[in-house]
Formats: sequence, structure tokens, C-alpha cells
Amino acid sequence: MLFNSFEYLLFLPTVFLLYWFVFNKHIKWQNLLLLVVSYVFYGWWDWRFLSLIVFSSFVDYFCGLAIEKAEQTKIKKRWLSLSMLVNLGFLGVFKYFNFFSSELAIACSALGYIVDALTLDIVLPVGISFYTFQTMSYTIDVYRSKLKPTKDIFAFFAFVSFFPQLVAGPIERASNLLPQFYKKRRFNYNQATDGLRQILWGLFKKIVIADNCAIIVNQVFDNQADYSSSSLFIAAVFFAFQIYGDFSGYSDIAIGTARLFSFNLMQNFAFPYFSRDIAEFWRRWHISLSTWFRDYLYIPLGGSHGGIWMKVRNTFIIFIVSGFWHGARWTFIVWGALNAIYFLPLLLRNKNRTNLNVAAEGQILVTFKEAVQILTTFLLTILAWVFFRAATITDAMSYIYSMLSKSLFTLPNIDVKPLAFIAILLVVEWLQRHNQHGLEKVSKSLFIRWSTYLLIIFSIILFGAQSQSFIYFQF
Amino acid sequence: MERSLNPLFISNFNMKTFLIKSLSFFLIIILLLTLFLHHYGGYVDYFYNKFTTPKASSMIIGDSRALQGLQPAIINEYYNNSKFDLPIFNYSFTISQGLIGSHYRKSILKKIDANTKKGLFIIAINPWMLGSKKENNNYKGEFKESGTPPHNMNFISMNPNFEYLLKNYNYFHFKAVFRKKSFLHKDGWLEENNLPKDSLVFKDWKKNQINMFTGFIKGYKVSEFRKKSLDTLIKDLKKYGQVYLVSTPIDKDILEIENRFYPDFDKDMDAVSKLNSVAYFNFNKANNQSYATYDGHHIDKFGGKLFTKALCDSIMKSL
Repeated sequence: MLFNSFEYLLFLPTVFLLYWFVFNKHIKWQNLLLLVVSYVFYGWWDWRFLSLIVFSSFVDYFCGLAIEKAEQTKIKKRWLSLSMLVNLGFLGVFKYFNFFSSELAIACSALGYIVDALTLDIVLPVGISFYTFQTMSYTIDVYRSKLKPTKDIFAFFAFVSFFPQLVAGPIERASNLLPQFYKKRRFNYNQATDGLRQILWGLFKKIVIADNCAIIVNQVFDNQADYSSSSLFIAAVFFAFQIYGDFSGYSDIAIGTARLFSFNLMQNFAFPYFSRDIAEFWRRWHISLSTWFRDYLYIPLGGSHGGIWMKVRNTFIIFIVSGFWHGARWTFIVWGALNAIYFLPLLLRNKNRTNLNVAAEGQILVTFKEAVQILTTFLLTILAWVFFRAATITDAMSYIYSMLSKSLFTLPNIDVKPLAFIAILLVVEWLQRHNQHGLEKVSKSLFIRWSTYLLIIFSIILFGAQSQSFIYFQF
Repeated sequence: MERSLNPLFISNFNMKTFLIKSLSFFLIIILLLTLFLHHYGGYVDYFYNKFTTPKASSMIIGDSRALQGLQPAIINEYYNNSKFDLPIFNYSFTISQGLIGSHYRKSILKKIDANTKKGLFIIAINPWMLGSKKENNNYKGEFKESGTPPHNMNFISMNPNFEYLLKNYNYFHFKAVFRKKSFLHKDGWLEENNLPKDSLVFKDWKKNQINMFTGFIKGYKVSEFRKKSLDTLIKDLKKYGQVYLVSTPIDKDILEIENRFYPDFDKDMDAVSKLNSVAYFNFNKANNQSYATYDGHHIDKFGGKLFTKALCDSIMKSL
């Protein structure tokens, strides 16, 4: 079920009323309701893939308990390995098998052996990369004794499949989300209204920004030879905002929805396009994934400790794996590697933690220096996004090559109307950059507040483009 | 007592306020949306107004050729003070929905005012309206038009029509309220405004239409089921008044494609009209006046005025 669909418009209030008025007598009932509706939410897309979530939940539930019960580290490790094997196995089969098989066949033919690639005719289950990472964090934390395994099977299953963040995150840590399933939830007016505001802002970003940009981006990237450099550049900018509007919009709706049920999910985006360097950008972009890789991959590899070689190695590993997490394509790997190249000079000069506050802290406008830093960082991310969007590395290289010609300084021959929506987004988010989301602080006057909400709703109705699926579903 | 202690119960002030405010806000949105649709419904959707208008005693039935080319206002004026139960309503859709068959028939019968005795029913027919996708078996209930308006509508005369909004949201193009290029009148006629002045654009559009219809020949077949449905529809409509079968004028290039798709079309229409004792007017016969189309088969609003009048003359002569 899509967040930007009529089905969801009916689904959400129904679940809300059931949750607070019918199943409110006992926390177990509420958890059971959340579990059932989460499966309905997921099964709406394809019920057959529910079996994967159920199986993965069973394995991790029992592995968690077995790890706690085992006395020897060797045995604990075996149970952890089983959990990793199942989760990474699912990812391997559904997401990466065809890629590795084709690449192996190419490598063999390069060596003179002609081999037919064995490929599986399978669909990638929606959200598989998200929920497998979430459950893996549970067994790893139990193994590291950072978390007590739960015996409450309904709470655990509901944690794995919690519908607001099931298919596109934020990838929650068990240590943050799971305990919320044990505690009695109390309805909190401020939390719920702020949740609704966050949902509204997420819908605006998705339907007005991302979907409008998508129309032009698809047209230009699919026919790049027909467009001038300036058009290619504008389309690349549009893609930067398409992916931001799409993914951060989804996160906003997910977090806002969870708040209606008195759950707090982690912030996933913190206004990343106001970052002054790439390190700051990665602290603000897809935070739940970046911190996941930091805690479960980068730090175990030694992190930024050790010599230069180790820092370089670890940086490349984390960025390339992060790129590969997005999909089995060389373009994602190059995108990851490019970000590693951007990041390394900061790390090696110990400047990767320079900008820990928000830009223009306590000020309305940025200084000239900050403006240049923000613009440079944004241009670097645009260059990387071209690889992320292009179908092949050759396409991406040719796009960049064509983009940097003399006609970059001519008028673009594409519809630039989405720039107006982007400008609105940037102004609103700039004013709210100290907060959690773009509509957190609105005027105290009820009239102004409600007028703002109505304006946004009618902007969505009037300017919203044809509904598109969320990009991150494919990951 | 226990209830008042339960923080989650409705007596909880927080929840009560939340529900009251949310509902009030929701009602404001509905109110504003209703006002918007009332004023601009004809601009933002090609069909919305077809379902907000009262039941009709006379009707134009067809696809987009009739939707744009047959103007009810001209017919109402022409037959003012006649024996027909007027006003006539244009209940035509496009070639994706206006296909002759059980779905369309059901919807037409829903839209007819049951008290009608002397209605005027114009079925603007063309070969594609009797065509079916090759992979669809109409006898097994497989229809291309299933799930589209008007076939997915239970309420066809409700204002505002939220059923239409909910079920067919994707058909709305709200941005059009700023351009106001096309307008669906309350009598069901779709008026296309601001057509381009460049004749090259029309040539290009016609080329696209030719490509589309040529593609149809490959994927479509003439459906015996739909042919029988046309006969049933005529018989049903005759209970409410006079029925006329019309083949609307189109350009020669497109007519040639249609003749390839359904060579016996004219003969079959003649046969079905004779069988039911209704008049059939084929405006594509060589001796007929030609009407300018902007893309090969849609008559513009000026040509539509002339064509509608010519049709009225033909009907008058046959009375």
C-alpha cells in the first residue's frame, strides 16, 4: 500500500480508531493489531512475500533467545551466524544473485570461457533491504549484550513489521523501537498533531516536489542526447530534489504516522542540502542507514582509528557497501566510491567533524563562506547523483560530459516550473533547519496555522503530479 | 469510574480535542473541495460533470468523437417545442470507456430518467466501439473498459460526487484549472478551447492518431458480443423514445484504416438499424459534406456546431 494512495487515506484512520478505542485495553492487543495491520499493509502489495518477513522474524526471534541462553561464545556465534545467513541469504538470492551470476559469466567470457549466466526470474520483495537490516541489528545487539532478547513474540513480530517504516525505513535499531512495544502507550495530543504536520510535509515533498521533478528527470535521462548542457544540469538538480523529496518525504510520513500511535522513530533526514561539506551531508542524509553501517560495519573494521591505509580502506568499504545496498548495479558502486573520494580528504585532515551544528546557527542568512561551502557540497552531490540515476556507467559518463559543455550557459529547453516548488521547499526548510521536520514550528495563531495547512493541501491537489511509486521501494 | 481513569478513552481531553479538531479540519477541506469542484469541476476532469447532473430523458451515446462533436445546446434549440423529451444530455466518453457492451448499457440505463417516453437517443457509432482486444473474451466477461468510469460508478447523478473523486482520482488534472483549455459543460459536451493555430501541429496530431489506429488493427478484433450488445441497447432505448444511429464524419485516411479493421461496418449498421426500425445516418458517404477535424477524427467546436445542425436536419427529415 502506498502512503500517497486513497487506500492509505482510509487505512490510517481506521487503524487509528481501532488502536485507541477498541484494542486499547491491553498492550498485547495493541501489538497484535499492529502486527495484523502491518501484514495487511505489506500484503496489499504482494501477500506471497509476507512469508519472508514471517520466516525472518521467526529465525531472529529464536536466534535472539538462543544467543542469550548459550553460555559459550562459540555457540552464541553460531546462532548469530544463522541469523546473518538467513537475512543476508534472502538479500543475496532476491537482490544480488542475478548480478553476481551475470558478472561471473562476463568474467568467464573475458577469460575465453563462454558461460551462460544463470539468472532467476524473481521479483525483488519491497522493503527487503530495510527489514532485514532492522532484524539483523536485533541479533547483533543481543550478541553484543547491548540488548536483552525479548520473549514477547507478538512485540517482536510487530517490531519487525511495524507498517509505518516497514518498506522504506527509517531502519530502526531494536534498542530504540523494541522497548516501545513493551510500554503502555498513552495518547499524546502534541505528539499526534506534530505527527500529522510531518505527514503533511512529507506528502508535499513527495507529490509536489518529487513527482513533478520525476516527469522531467525521466524524460531527460532517457533521451539525454536531445538536450542542451543547461537542460541536463537542471535535470540533474531536479533528480537531487526528486530523490530527496521522495525519500525524505516517505520518512516524514513514516515518522509522523508512528507518532499517531505514540511511537518515536529516529530522524532520517536533517535538511542535508544545507550541508557545508560531504561529512556533514552524510550525517544528515539517510541517517538510519549511515549510522547502521557506522555501528555494525565501520567501527568493527576499526573505524577511523589506525593508520592512513586503514582509514582509506574502511572509508571505501563503508561507502561502496552503502552504494551496493541500494542495488546490484555498478552505478551504485561508483556512486558510493565517488562519495568516499569526496569524504577522504576531510577524514585525512581531521576535518570531518568540523560542521556539527546547523548552517548559520542563530542567524537568518548564511555568511558568504558558508554559502560557497553549501553550494560546492550540493554540486558535488549532484555529480554523484548522476551515477545513481543513470542506467549504466557509460550513460552517466556521457551525461556528465554533455552537461559540462559550452551550452551550460544557455537557456534550458525543458520545463523549469518545478524550480518554483523547489524554491518554496528550500525557504521553508531553511527556516525550520533547527527542527526535526519542515512543519514543526508553525505560527501560534490557529488561523495562520490552519490556513498554512490548507494551502499545502490544495497545493498538493492542484500541483501534484501523477502518482509515482517511491524510489526507495526498489532498494 | 474505571473509564474516566483510562487515559485512552474518549473522555480523555487530549483525544477529544484531537478528534474534534481533526474532524473540523477535515470538514473544512471537504467544504472547500466541494466549492472547488462545483465551480471548476468541468475544467479539471473530462467526465466529472457527467455524474453530477440529473438523470436524462434524451441522450447522446458514443466515444470522444461524439463527446466533442455533438453539442446538446444546438439540439435542444433545434427541437425546442418538439415532441421530444428534452433537454438532451451528452453521455459520451472516450474510446477507452465508450465501448458498446453490457457495462456501458448498464450505465446508460442508470442515467435515463425512468419516466421518459419520448426521448431522443443518438448513438454515435464507429468500428472501434465494437472492437475488443484480441486477448479478451467478451463472453467470459473480459472487457477492456472494466473498472473505468462510468462502469465503476454506482451514483451517476450526485452533486458533489465524491464517489467519482475517490474512485477516479487519477483522471483529474487539477492543474488544468489555470489553463482552462477544455471544459465539460453541464450538458455533457466537452468544449476544446485554444486549439493551436499552427497547421503543422494538427498534421502531427493526425499522424499520431493514424499510428494509434493502425496499432489498434493489430491488437483488436471486431466483437460479435458487442455487435449483439448494440442490438440490445437499441431495443432497450426504444422503450424510452426514438433511437438514431450515426456514423460521425472523419478524415479519409482514418476512414480507410477503419474500413480495413471492419470492412462490413456500414453494411452491419444498416442491417441493425433496419432490424430495429431505426434510422441510420452515415456522414462518411462520398456525397456528404465534409467537416474539418483537428486530428483526423475529432471535429472542432465550430465544425461541431455545423455537424450537429446537419444531424438535426437529417433526423427531422426522417420523422
